[in-house]
Parts: sequence; structure tokens; C-alpha cells
Amino acid sequence: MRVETGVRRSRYRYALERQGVLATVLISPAVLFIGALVGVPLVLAVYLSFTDATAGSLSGNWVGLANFRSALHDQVFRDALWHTFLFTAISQAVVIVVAGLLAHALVRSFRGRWLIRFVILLPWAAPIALTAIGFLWFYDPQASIFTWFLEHLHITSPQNRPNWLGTPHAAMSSIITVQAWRTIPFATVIFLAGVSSIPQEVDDAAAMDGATGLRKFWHVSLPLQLPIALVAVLFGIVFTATDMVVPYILTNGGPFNSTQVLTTWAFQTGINAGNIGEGAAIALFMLPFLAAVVVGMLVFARRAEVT
Amino acid sequence: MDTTDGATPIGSDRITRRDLIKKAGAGALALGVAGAAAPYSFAGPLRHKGRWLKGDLSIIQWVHFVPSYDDWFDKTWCVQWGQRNDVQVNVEHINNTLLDTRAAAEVAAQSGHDLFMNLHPMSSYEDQVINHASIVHEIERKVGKYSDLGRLSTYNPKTKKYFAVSDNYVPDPVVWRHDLWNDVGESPATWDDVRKAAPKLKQHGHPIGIGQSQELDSNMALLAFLMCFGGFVQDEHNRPTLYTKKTVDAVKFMADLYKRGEDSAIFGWNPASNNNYLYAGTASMILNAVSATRTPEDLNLPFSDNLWIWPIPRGPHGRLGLEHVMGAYSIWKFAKNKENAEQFLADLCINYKQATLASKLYNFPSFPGAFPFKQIRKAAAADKHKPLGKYTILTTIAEKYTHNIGYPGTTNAAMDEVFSKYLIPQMFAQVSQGKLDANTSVRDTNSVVKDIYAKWKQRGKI
Repeated sequence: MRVETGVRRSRYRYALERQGVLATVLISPAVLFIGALVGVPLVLAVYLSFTDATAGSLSGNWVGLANFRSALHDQVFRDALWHTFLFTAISQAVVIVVAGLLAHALVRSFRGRWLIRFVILLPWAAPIALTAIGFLWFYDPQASIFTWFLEHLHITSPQNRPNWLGTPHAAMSSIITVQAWRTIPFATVIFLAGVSSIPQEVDDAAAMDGATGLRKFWHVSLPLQLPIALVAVLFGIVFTATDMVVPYILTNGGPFNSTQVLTTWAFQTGINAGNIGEGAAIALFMLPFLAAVVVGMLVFARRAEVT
Repeated sequence: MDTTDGATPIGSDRITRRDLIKKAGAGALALGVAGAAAPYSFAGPLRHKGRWLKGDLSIIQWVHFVPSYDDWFDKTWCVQWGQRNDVQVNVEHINNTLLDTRAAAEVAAQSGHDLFMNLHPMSSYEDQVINHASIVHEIERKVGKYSDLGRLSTYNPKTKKYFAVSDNYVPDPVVWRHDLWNDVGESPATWDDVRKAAPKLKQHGHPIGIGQSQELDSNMALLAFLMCFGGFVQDEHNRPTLYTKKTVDAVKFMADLYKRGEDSAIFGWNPASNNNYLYAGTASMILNAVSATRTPEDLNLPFSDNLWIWPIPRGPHGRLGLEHVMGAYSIWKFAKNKENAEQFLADLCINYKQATLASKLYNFPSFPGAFPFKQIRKAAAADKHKPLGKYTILTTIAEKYTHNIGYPGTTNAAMDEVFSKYLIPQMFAQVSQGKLDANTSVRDTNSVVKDIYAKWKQRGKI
């Protein structure tokens, strides 16, 4: 009896020496942390989207899909959905092109390369709220530095000043530009890692086979860096589609909702106007779409993987 | 065990994974317990010498546009009130644009400040706040009646509840450049005068500066402008009434005014833009509070003596203005120090003369008896800025031409949503930019407004 107890005790005593137990113990705090900070709010948001909860009465009554139906009937919501797509697609297309070019330029060895890399990375390091406010000044209707340059280059005149944030197309272009500007450094770093990871032997072999320029890029470089580049694209899409800082600070969705995206509209409906249930429903519209994007990209990345 | 090869012996000196986790866990536990107990470890210094504290009071409010007000509030009023009542008063100031978000966060957490001040009455949080009726009655006992403006803004006749107490409101005059208007031989007495003068002023490089953007000042200016033309979002029974010929006419008029005498910059403005437009020497007229004249005075801008303030121009329906902003305090049901908060709020409103003076006549008392208009007029007349006596008109504006958001009805949750979603600036802007004709724009906006009102009616709040 005593022997059995001793064996059991010693089994427990050395339980942590077993890989499975130790791994579980070590990973549990992270799982609990993510569950509490991501899982609980997500579940709460899903619950709220099916209720008529207001800012003044958080519980609300169960209304089924009414909030989703109401959102779909709302022209502003439909516009916001389209703007979210435009905002994400165009800014990320710009990011892919610019980051690709920058990565290929920066992988080469030249004097001052570290300085250029540092400068390109800076937008990523700066707090976005601060930089968005900086751009708000750059786009200021009275004192825009962009306008000042254009006037000095005689492209525009004081009588015909560009209105960066005041007309629908200009405002959308402005927020897309800032979003692309802030995402480019991250994508560049990832692309750079992809380009750097291509072994020299592959390059040499391609050169010996006569592959140069665009052919080499298309058939050798691109397939090899695609999996890692897709990670940057994936992150870029998710970050952009779920971001509200840039449109919120620069235009607040204006003029007349022409730059309203789902995040700003969810915020305005849920927090400013006090309709928490409706706001949650608007915010959750993105969830299946983004989940599909994530799954699709991961599947594509797996297929494109070069072993 | 042979250890001559230098390998670490397996024995008591070796730290196993289990030991490591045990030790780390014990350390973390000790730190946690010590940290949690820290607030109870020391009695702390006495906050007011010779007195035993009754409690604390936490307040959150905006960073005032007139800095001398915050100086007085934090360093004089709160300190003296705290000493008189044995209460430690803590004040947190945040940017006015963050107040709504913070209120939502405090409600979600069911925890926060004892007194929450916002720049508009928080009608949508009615279920989360106490009934402030007893505070209103106590103040009325001391200084007389609550102003109509204050009552209509903070009382819900449907639920018979005061969901806030307004300590102040800010008159919203027209601020105009006398020198520029004089050059074109006009003055902004009526909206027709403004439309007549606008092309000449714009030609001289000084357009009119009334925004049509998704921001506070555009919202206030356009709602007031609409009222001057007889267009109202709701009637006195809080029923939506936007879609009328008068509203359509007002929208057409503003589109015309924009084309004749404004700059397209007004569509991309934020709340500071019209001030900056004036400070840059560009604008010939804006609708704003007296902070727009105080700043040029403080900066000694060359045209500060030419900045005149008048009531809102008269329209076909008369001269109907709005408060620029309204200070409104609410006490959450979950506040920890409700009694202190109630007493503080009552005392502040009763003694509002000091506050009005500290704000350089920016804040007007919502309980007029606390600092009667006659006395305010006297204080305004003593102001030495030129033209002498220019601030005396503020009392007339405050008394006769300042109404609540939602006038002739009450400020309520539905009106709050119309305001928060910037439906009125959008209605004007899409016509001014030629996206829609006036009738369609008003009809579409009215449809959204009606849905909002139906929703809040269903919720029993209007």
C-alpha cells in the first residue's frame, strides 16, 4: 500500500518532466490570456449583435437577425461595405507594388543601405494616431504643405486649390495614400526577408540557364518568395479592413459618408449614437469575410510553398 | 557518481523544470499578494489637516477652451470645496472629442468617475444614471428656476427623469470682420444680407466660413440656420418634422450661399477649422463661441479689434440660435461616491458666478439666478477689448436667441443619434456639392430620421 502511494506521488512529482504536461502548463497562460482578451469580447460582440442593446442598457432584448437586416437595408452601410473593399484593395495593391520594388532595391549592397532601411521603417514605428494627425495638417484646407508645393510648382493656383479631404474622390484617395504609407514598411521587411532567403545557388543556376530580368523574376524569384510575401498581404488586408484610425481622424467618414468604412460606421452607430447592438452587427459583418480571406490565403500559401 | 569528466551531476544541485516552475510560481504569488496588499499597508498622509476624511470624489471633464477656467476649477474651486467638505477631489481632464467614448467605456465596465461631464446631455445613457431631480430642486431652492434651455436639455418628459444637470451653456454668436464687411457696405443682420455680401467678400479673398462637414461646429451652425428658415428636426412633442418646404428652401439657400461665397474647404473641416480660417485672416464670418475672439485678443492678431459679435442673422422664420455647447454633469448609478457628487454639483451650480468669470464669459449659468444677466452684462461691459462693450451682446444672445438641440422639443436620445450621425451636415453638403437635389436630400434624410425616432419610441425613451 505504502509502496503504491509512493509510486503515485513520485509520478505526480515528475509529471512536469513529461513533455506533454509541461507544454500544456507553459502554454496555458497564453491561451487563457488570449481567451480573456480576444475570445470573451468576440463572444460578447456576437451576443450583442443579436440584441437591441444600447449604450445605456447593455443587456438588451434578443432581436434575432434584425440588426443585420436593418444594416443591409441601410444605404450608408452598403456604401461603407464598398468603401471598405476599395480602401483595402487599392491600398494593399499599392503596398504590394511599392514594397516589392523597395525589397528588391534594398536587398542589394550599397553605401548607406542601413540608413535607407531605417528611414523606410520609421512609419511603422511611429504611433498611427500621431501620424494621422500629422497628415491631417498636411491635408489642411488652409495650410496644406502638399498644396504649397503644388502652387510653387505652378501645378495649382490659390484660386484653384485642391481640397484633399473635402470632396469624395480626393478624400478617399487621401485616406488610401496614408494607409498605404503606413503599411509599406511592414510589407517591405517581410518581402525583404523573402528575397534574402533565396539561396545564391538558385540565382546562379537560373543565370546559367539564361534566365534574366523579368523571366527570372517571374519563374524563379516570385515563386520562391510568394509564400512569405503572402503573409505580408494577408496581414495587410486584415489590418486595413479592421482599421479605423486613418479614416476616423482624417475625414470622420465625410464628406457625406463618402469615406465611411465599416469600422467607422460601426463606431459611429455603436458608440456615438449609442446603438451597441447595431454597431456590433455592423462590425461583425467583416468577420466571415476576413475569416474567408485568412483561410484562402493560407491555403494558397500552402500550395505555393516551395520545398 | 563519477564527476571527474566535468559533467553536471544529477542530484540536489540541479534545477529541474518542476523546481523552476515551483520557484517561479511562488515568486509570482508572493509578488501578487504583496502588490494587492500594498494599498492597505499604509494609512497614507492626512489629506486635510485636523480632519477625518469622509471620502473621495472623482470627476472627469473636458479640457476647457479657455484655460483660465481649468485653473480656477482645479486649483481654487475643487480645493476649497474639498476642504470645506472633507473630501479629496480628483479631476481628470480629457479632450472633448473623447468624452463619448469614455462614457461608453465606463458604462460597459460599470465603473468610473463619480461625476461625468459631457458637452452635451447624455440622453442615451438615461438608464445608467440616477434621477438628478433632487439636485435640480436643491439648486432651485437657493438660486431660483432652472432655465428652459437647461430643463429642455436634461429632462425627459416621457420618463419624468432628469438624466443630467447642466451647469452651463455657451452662446453661439456670429463672429464677423467689421472691416471686411464695411468694405463691401454690408453687415450680417439677416441671412439675405449674408447671401448678398458673400460674393463680394469672396472676391476680396474673404469667404464666409460656415462648415458643411461631419463635425460639431457644422452640425450646430446648420441646425441653427435651418431653424431660422422654419425647418425643425422635431416638433414640441418630439415627433420628426424634417421634410417640409421650409427645410428644402433652407438647403437650397445654403447651397446657393456656398456657390456664391464659400470655399470648398468647408466640406473637409474639423471643429478647429473655422477658428483657424478666422485666425488666418481669411474668413469674413463664422458661427462660433467667444473663444474665437478671445484667441485673437490673446495673440494680438492685427484684426482682433475688428472682430464683432452679433446674434445669428435673422431668417424668414426669425432669429433662432443654438447653444454652442452645453456642460452637463451626470452621476452614474454605479458611482461610488454619489452623495459627494450630488453635493459638489449643487454647490457648483449655486456658485456659478465665479465659474462664468473664470471662463471669461464663455460659460453662462444654466441656473440664471446664480449670476443674473444684468450682472453678467455689467461684467461684459467692463471688458477692455475693442470695440468696447462688444461682449455685452452675449447676454441678449443667451437670453433671447439660444435654444436647445431638438428645439422646440426636448433634447432626447433620438435627436442625439441624428446629431451624432451628422445627418444634417450631410443633408446640406450633398446638395451643395451637386450630388443630390434639395428635395431628394431632405426626403432621404427624413426617412432615416423617422426610422431613428421610431426605434427610440419603441424603446420608451421618447
